Amino acid sequence: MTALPEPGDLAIHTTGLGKSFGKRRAVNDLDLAVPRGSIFGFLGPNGAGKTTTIRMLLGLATPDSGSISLLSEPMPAAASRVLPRVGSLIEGPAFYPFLSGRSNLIRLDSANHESDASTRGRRVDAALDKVGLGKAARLAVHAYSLGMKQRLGIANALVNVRELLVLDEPTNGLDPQGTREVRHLIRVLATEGTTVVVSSHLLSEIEQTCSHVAVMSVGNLVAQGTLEEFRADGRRVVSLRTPDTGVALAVLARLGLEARQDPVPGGQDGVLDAALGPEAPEPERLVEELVAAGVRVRGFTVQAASLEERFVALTGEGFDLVQ
Amino acid sequence: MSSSGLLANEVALLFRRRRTWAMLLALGAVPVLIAVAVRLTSGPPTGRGPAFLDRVAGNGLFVAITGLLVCIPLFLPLTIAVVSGDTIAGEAGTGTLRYLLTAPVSRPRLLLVKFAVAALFALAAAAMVALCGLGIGALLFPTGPVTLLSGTTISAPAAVLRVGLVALYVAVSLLGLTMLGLFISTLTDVPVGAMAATAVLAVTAQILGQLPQLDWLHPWLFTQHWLGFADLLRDPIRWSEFGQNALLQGGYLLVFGALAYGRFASKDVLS
Amino acid sequence: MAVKPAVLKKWIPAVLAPAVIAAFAVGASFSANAQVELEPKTPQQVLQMIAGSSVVDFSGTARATLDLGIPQLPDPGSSGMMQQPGSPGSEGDTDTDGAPETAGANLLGMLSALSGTHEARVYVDGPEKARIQVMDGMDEQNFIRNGSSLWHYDSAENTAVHLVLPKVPRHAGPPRHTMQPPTPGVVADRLIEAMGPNTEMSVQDDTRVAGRDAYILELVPRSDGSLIAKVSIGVDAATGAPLEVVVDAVGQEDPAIAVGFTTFTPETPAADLFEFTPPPGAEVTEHKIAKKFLDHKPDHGPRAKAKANGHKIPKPFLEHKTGAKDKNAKPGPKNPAGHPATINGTGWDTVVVVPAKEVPKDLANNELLNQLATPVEGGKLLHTSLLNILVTDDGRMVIGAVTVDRLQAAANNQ
Ligand SMILES: Nc1ncnc2c1ncn2[C@@H]1O[C@H](COP(=O)(O)OP(=O)(O)O)[C@@H](O)[C@H]1O
Ligand SMILES: [Mg+2]
Repeated sequence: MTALPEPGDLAIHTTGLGKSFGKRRAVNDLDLAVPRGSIFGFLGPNGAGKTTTIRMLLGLATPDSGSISLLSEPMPAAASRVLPRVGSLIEGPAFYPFLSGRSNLIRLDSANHESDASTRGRRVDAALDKVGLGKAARLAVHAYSLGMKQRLGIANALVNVRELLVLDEPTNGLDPQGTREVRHLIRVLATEGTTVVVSSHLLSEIEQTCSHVAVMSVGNLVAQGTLEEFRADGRRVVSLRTPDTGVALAVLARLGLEARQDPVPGGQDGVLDAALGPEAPEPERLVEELVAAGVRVRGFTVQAASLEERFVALTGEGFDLVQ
Repeated sequence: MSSSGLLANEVALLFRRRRTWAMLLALGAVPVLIAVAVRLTSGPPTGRGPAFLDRVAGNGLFVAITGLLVCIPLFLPLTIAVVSGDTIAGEAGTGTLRYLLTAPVSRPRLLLVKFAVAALFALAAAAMVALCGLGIGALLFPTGPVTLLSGTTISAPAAVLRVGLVALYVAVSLLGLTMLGLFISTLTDVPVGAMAATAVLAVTAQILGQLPQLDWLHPWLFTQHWLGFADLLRDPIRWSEFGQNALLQGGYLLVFGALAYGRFASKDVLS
Repeated sequence: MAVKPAVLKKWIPAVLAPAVIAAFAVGASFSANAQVELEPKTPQQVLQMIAGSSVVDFSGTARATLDLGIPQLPDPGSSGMMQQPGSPGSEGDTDTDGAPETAGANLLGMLSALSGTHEARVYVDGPEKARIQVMDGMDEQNFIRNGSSLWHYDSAENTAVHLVLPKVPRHAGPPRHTMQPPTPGVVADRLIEAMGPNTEMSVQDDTRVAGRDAYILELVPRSDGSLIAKVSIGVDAATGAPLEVVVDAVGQEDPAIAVGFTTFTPETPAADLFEFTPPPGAEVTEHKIAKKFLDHKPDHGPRAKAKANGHKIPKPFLEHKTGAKDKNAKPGPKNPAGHPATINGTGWDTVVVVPAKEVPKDLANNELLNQLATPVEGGKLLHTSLLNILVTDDGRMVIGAVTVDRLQAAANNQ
């Protein structure tokens, strides 16, 4: 990973951030650096500690250890100065069910001591339009679908012009159309200069929009950097198609590669996959050696590791939450 | 400007809730029921009954006083428990607390606004009983000069003023419980729990107040002066009970306000 | 995990608030009972101050607390919220005059009802104008005297009783007759009357009573048989008015009787306080008092009147105290008809022996009495912290503010 940007250029900067619930360490020694202007993907499986981190960033929970700087101000000390400049969606939307979507937003905006009462109605309506809720604005929230509530939650973050948006799982419950709209919205906001932090347990959401990524696993930050760095850091994988799998395995083993034979249904050709470590020979040398050994190379591809594989490699596999 | 914005919004919200009106109407029904019952039986009341009940038939203005007397031990505390127990725990329960705090509103200010709204409800509740009592009393019974406990007779407008004073006394009496409910509300994310605990406290305090073995404790119970508004119906008015009550309630506001602040300001909002 | 100082700081108000309140409470009680520096006075001088007190106009709030060590009896009228609007007095109270039966049989019931704390507002303007408002939960008893007109108004029953005195006797002092609760001045007067060489008098540390600097005159019986440990009288340093009387019983931590002002203003109350017009709708009873009756016993009238309304006046108790302590007092109140009751001993040790035929029959068989009395040698003993009553096996009644063996000795001497 590259050196961190200067602290002044960071929208969020934490050092040694930690939080425990009883004996459980939810967040451990977290050094997060979110550059201003970035779209920052905050990745991690369920229970990794993303929401807990966000709660601490926004002053909802007190860290056990470490310090937080939000828009270059210390949190939670400067909360009343910083938070008006931050829009947020935290662990899903929450509204008074018996109030309309519009009334809910008006209520929350009137709680903001820096917001201007005279423009409140206009700003709320604009935010509702942005998320496509203009028509349902005066409907009571209990009549909203999950996706509509999610949109309303995002609208709440947009009622004021914000320097920083922190969106925790913003596409939860949204239909594919809604997901696309949210992605588009995030891009638009970012071009307007807003720093956007999007947390998700879904990689696909991140990789299409984000400029930067951080990955958490079991409370620890396991990777952080630009999306390019993240991708480049992945190991390449070669895939060989040949009927002479036995010989090929021997050759690859001699070259220090641990190959795995994939079952190929129907054909006589076998497919061997091997990850290229940093010390591994170049792919063209591999082909040379294989051909020299008499292996009939019928197919040979080199692939960069997918983000998915990167993610899984970093955070563990399977459905069991690591605890 | 915007600091009062939240307060105005919260007040509007309180009176927009159906629950609030259900409680206020239930409270208003108490004097109406009393008046109708007295009207239907019409004869001089016999046996046990709330003080002042025997005067209702003679003067409708007493319906308001009797109504307040009947409501203060249980009905009013119950509604206060619902409103004050809901203040913080209700927001935590629906999850809106995290959005209020990140809006942002500072925690002390939110507490203050929530208390102000609950206190306003206490005033509204007492006023509701008094007004419904005055209304139904004037409708069903003769009204006119009122005899005070000391035997002095005052004019009807002066008597309405006294009823207002009694309602104010009752509202002030409920402030300590309101703050207690607010404090309990900061302890949990389950509003029903906070409401129940507050109501139980109100009843418990009254029971403790009845135990002579605990008379050292009695001056410190927030329920101690709840029935003391009779002093406002004497001639001359005796203010010492009003003052002591206000002082006691003020003490509760101070102590439990500080506790609520301590708890809420240091609490992790995880709902 | 360690709690951060920033978090601890939020709890500072929660710690300070009770501390501030405790400090205020302590400070308030300290200044209320604070010792004050007054010019030193001998008991003699303090008594003179009382005698020479010129306060005839004042208003104040008086509080009386009675703790006679008798069990709490069911009490229909004190629960504040729920009341029996038409509750008759205890049975026996329906007699129109203070017959001994009434007094004896309900002595305990009345004392029990009176036990606890009672508050009254007192307004006095000279010897002929007085108003006492006894505040009892949601009710109030008013006793108003304005010249020859006496009113009693009972808010619970909305009844008024009017008495017209034929001619106001000169010597009728301040509201001697309106005895509920007795004003500090009256009680002090009576105690001082009763004092003789058998009392040790001293002036204690000066303090504050009703927010006013006061001398404390302490009377300790020179007797080892008395149930009375001591009597303290708080005397207003500025005016000489007695502000407080506290009677301590032997072996009881709390005072048996504490009567005192909680507020006291030596100023003329508003004149209209003494004007009383019965409210419309109130049931008014008119009484005329025969002149000779009044002359004979100036404080009988109001009692009879109150009795007629079923009030709980501590009559037997107060009468008894007068009788027991003042050896010169006629046993009259107990025996209006002049039947002989023997008086043994003097001063604090006075014992009254009522002959068997004078003891009301219902008293001997009274259920309540039988429950509360304990069998002792020679009869049944009824014990309160200030008074012992021995009903002997042969039916006599021996009464005194002394230990039971004194009563037994008096009974045996007959
Ligand atoms: N209120 C809470 N009480 C106890 N443990 C909690 C609480 N909230 C979160 N946790 C624990 O903290 C860890 C991180 O949770 P969270 O931050 O919500 O994860 P994420 O948002 O990444 O899915 C989890 O192990 C979770 O069980
Ligand atoms: Mg989460």
